[in-house]
Amino acid sequence: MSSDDPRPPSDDARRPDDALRPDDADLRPGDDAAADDGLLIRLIGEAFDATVAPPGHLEDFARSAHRLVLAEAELAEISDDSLVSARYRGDERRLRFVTPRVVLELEVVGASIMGRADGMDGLDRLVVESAAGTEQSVPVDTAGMFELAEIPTGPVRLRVPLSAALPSDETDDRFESIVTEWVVLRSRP
Amino acid sequence: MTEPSTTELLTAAAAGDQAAWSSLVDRYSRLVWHVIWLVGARGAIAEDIYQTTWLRLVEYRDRIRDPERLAGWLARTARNEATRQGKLAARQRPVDEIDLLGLAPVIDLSSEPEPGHAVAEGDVLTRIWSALERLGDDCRQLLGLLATAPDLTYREVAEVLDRPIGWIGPTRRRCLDKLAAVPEVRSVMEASIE
Repeated sequence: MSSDDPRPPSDDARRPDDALRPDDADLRPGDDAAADDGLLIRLIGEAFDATVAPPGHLEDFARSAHRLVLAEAELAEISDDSLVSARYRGDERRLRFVTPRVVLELEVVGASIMGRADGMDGLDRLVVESAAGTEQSVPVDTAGMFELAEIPTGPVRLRVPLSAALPSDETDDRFESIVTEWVVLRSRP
Repeated sequence: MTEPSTTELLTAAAAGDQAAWSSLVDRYSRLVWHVIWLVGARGAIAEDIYQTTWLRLVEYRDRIRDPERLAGWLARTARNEATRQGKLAARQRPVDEIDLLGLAPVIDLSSEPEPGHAVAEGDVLTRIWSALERLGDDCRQLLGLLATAPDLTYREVAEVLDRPIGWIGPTRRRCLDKLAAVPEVRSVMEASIE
């Protein structure tokens, strides 16, 4: 049965097991469950907790992720990623990050990236940060092009220090840098 | 003393409160990991998905529209990252494996726990886990998600599992009935009710 099933709700319409109306999409599947079902679901949850626990080093990472907040940074969101976009057909992965005044475009070729920063006059460098804590300064040429031969594995982000570019009328004094969203460009082996 | 709400924790974390952030991690870490596991990711890919999911929350900590629905937001984010990273991994090292959820073929849908994760030793939980393993992938994924994240709505469950909303209720019923019919599970249920 699809969510727009034309059949009228059953007599027991409040029980989502039997008939789900479109308006019920915000109910929880466990609402109105029978007592046995609740017990079974609880036992399954306990079995999962006992069997599939997140590794401790990952939880430590998550707790410390808060330190990666850059309060004075403007977030450049992913607007396109050829991995999940139907618009691209090429073999190479292409990504596009945008803020209202800057566009960063990346092309991933094997373990390297080639990119272009558009919208920041005089930008001469940017920084590639990994979630593991490494930082690499990458020179940017006068056309805004940059290249990194060896992308770190795991989550990375690009940080553009505004001090590395010429001020413009568009410069927002609230921000010291622009950072992209975290993204994995290269999986760990 | 009552537990702080997720809204309170997220608001405090967005204002820089590390303790509040840690509490959010404690509250939702298992949910994130279980979703990643349920969609079939394992090993280094699963770790990258987990890390990226929490980093995404760091980035959007002050832009979550409905903080009380954070469980759904995290589950969807983990699922989306699994899709993205599954495709990336498939480009890097394609292998032949079944892809039941539309994720990359490198994602392993076997029900084997990660090395180092001991199967539950409690007799009851061992029997439940063993019975779950014998159900199909659909049942294991749906019941696992409902059990690990009971607050998710139909809409959120549908998004995480990439299924129509109308699939959930009937499948849930069928899977619970199948599970309850397993003799070891039936005996556990009877003992619990008595």
